[in-house]
Amino acid sequence: MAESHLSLRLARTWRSFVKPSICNRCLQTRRTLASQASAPQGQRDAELEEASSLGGAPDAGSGSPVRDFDPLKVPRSRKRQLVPSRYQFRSPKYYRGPLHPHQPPPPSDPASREFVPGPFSTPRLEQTYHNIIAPDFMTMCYQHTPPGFRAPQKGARLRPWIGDSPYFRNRPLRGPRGGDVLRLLRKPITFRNIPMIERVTVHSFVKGALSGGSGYIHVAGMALQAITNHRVMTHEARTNEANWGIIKGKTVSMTVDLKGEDMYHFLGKLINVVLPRIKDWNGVRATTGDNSGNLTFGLDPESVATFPEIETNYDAYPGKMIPGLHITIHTTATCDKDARLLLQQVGIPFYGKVVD
Amino acid sequence: MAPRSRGAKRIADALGFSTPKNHVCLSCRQSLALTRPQRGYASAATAKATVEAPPITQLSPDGPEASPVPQPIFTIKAGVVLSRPPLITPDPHPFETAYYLYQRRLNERLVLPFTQYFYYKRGTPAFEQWRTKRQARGGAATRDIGKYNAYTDEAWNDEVLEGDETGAPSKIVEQLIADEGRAEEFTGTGDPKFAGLKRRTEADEKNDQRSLERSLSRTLYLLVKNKKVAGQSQDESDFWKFPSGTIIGHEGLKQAAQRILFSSLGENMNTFFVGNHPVGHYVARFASPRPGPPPQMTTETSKASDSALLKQEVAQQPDQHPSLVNGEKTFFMKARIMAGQPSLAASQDQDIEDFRWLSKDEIEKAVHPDYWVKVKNMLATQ
Amino acid sequence: MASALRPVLRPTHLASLPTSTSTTTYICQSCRHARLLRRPKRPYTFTQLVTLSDGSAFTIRTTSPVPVYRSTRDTRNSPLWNPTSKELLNVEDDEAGRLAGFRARFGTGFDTAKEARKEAEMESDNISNTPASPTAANAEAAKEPTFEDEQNMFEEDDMNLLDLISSFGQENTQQETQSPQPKKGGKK
Repeated sequence: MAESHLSLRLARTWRSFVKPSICNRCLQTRRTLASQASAPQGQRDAELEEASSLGGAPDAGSGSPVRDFDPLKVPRSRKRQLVPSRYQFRSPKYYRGPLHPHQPPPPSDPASREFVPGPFSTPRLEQTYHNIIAPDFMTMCYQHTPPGFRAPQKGARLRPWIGDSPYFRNRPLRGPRGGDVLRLLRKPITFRNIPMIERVTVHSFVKGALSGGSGYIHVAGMALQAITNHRVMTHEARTNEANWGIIKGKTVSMTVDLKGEDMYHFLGKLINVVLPRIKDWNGVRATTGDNSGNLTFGLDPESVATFPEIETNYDAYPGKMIPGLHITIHTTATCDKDARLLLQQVGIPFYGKVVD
Repeated sequence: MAPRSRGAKRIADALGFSTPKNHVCLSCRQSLALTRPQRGYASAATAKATVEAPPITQLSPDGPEASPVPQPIFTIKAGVVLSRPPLITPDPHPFETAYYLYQRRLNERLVLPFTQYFYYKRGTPAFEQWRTKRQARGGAATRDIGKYNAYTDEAWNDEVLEGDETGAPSKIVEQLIADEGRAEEFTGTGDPKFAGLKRRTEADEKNDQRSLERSLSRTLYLLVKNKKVAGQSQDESDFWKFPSGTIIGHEGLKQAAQRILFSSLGENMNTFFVGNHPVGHYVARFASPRPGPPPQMTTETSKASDSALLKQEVAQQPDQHPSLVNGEKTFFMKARIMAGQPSLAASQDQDIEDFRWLSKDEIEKAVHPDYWVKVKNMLATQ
Repeated sequence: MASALRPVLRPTHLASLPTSTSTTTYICQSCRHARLLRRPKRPYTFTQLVTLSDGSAFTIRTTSPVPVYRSTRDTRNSPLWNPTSKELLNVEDDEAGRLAGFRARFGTGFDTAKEARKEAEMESDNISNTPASPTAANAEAAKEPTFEDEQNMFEEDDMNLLDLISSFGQENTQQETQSPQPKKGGKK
């Protein structure tokens, strides 16, 4: 191995010594510029097909084998069924540890029991975000620095313990000034960190379930599932709270976490159809937010009833049992101002005093 | 690394041609040396300073004469990249269509079955209608997967054949409307089927590049063609450009862009300037120095106080506008059009011959290649 | 090896895609028994065509089996999303003509033009020419593109109206100088 390396290296250095006129960079650029037509022909991978199978078939005439192919012909003409144990794979129902010979396939495998089929559409809101909102956001939040500019160096955000005390040695850094919350830093917006909507949490606290039995929970679960296309996750009370009638261990609320396609469909539906129908609504209060770019607003039961899914069979839900909602929109923005700007562009109106 | 090869490397080092720098030829090294200083801010600043003219405010009459090397003087111009965002979603790639259909059919096999009695009460006319339509679909509850039943023995046959249009969005929409049975309500004033869902307009058919209703799924940009000026070469007036104009006095880029847009193309436009910063710039160097733009008087749209201030300044510094300039720098501001249309008749300057609304790939053909290189990265692909 | 030096052409994760689907099965590290692999429970979903009040339409995934949802009240005809739309707002009480004067003085040309056109349209009820934009991708608030393509008919007779309005505004300029400058864009 070492000898071959040595000889190769010597040969290469010798070659470059003899013919120093052309370097690798030049070769690359020359190929792309001058001999564009001839060089890639030889370089092209022989296994790559020239024609795409997705376009129209080149020879799809009426009598061609492409048109006449019937995938069901051979299986239907078969006298006996194939042996299922040889031709069908069944994922094991149980996971029996890493040393078991029969391992389940990973969840990304369609044969896995835990497989969830992928996106079924490209949501309109997502395309709007990528085509219109994100470029505009970057232009709006761009911060220009002149060429020679160097940002002033800031000290560490957490101070060390300084003093003669022997207890200060190797002690963890002091907490943040003025409180115990270290807020997120806002970095300048570039094309890499344009804020986007990460996930949406729909939460419903079912007050009626405290006294009215489990019917409220079931109805709220069905309503949330109809709205969000997801099975809900229920939550039990963790402590007793006598004033509010909360008993420890009793199911009181439910959440749905939405991501990706479902999230965009839910938001599109919410913004375009549901929010405009709320009576005397000024928008989301501008004071909302947790200082890290996650904004929350609520819907009352009457507004929840105007979701198209609930409206179509409103009779199926007992009228008094339709829940109210809290909708938390988690964005990748690190401050509420950016998140509000993003959601304004998406189409959620804000009103009132602005707190940053 | 083996000791022997390390020794070889040392020999090569001693000979002086094993370092990576020596693999680069002279022309490449020059180009590398040109690009490298941009890494350091300070060196970039010095490099910039040699190239760029000092700001106009600091140009004193004895400034250029005092320096030994005459620095190039540029006219600063503001340009407007006025765009109409896409109005409809783009047509999906055939692969997307095929993939989504595959996923939906896979989902049909894996998802919980549809609870039809929750939505349709048994024995009602709505239920009977639903059932007959479902049977016509081959038993599938959903309408976007074609004739496919996931609960039969032949459910494995989920791939569509060549030329099958089952997964196409237009086909799905057609199916949905047919299922609803109120198709005539989509027909607008015109004749064609589902006029409300048309994705191509008359402007598309006629390729009316002045219309804003063309290419609904693309971002359209406003380009103008200037009238021929006497001292201009042929190819300069032949190519299309974004609307631009010289900055007057102390006005900012945004104000200048707004003024230029309205004065050159009329005020019948509702526009929104995105941000206060330029999104791109274009530097044109003239082959020979040309007379710069004359110190223009303000247009009638600007305020009286501003014009008074400007006149005062112009009177104070008559040499501020150099007689000869070596080029011009255009800074482009991004703007969106909400409503309206530019009109040549309403323009005040009357120096624009024609305007067009073009998408990115049409712009490439319409503008000068050098202009395109500078401009292409600020345009949206879609 | 060589794979480490190969440039990565594909991002490790597309930001728009869901990063991971939440696993429904709790992975117990310490337990020794066989663990049931649960099939995730997901409700059945349909594709639905949502038609907004201006004729634009888009498809969504939903649990409801209704093929087409026709909306009567949505972002296209709600005054909260269309703050500049004159049809949706109540008629502003402009008895002294001060608002018109203010617009003539401080507004952009489009505002005054719009005002004049509205009045011109009062007499001649022309047909609505809203572009039917199916699956409209423009979801931004207050960015309602209603394109006028009759800019040529606008010039002659409306200029007189424009002059009238602007000259009307010039009379009472003293009060309006204190008024703040109107914001140009809907956003900051």
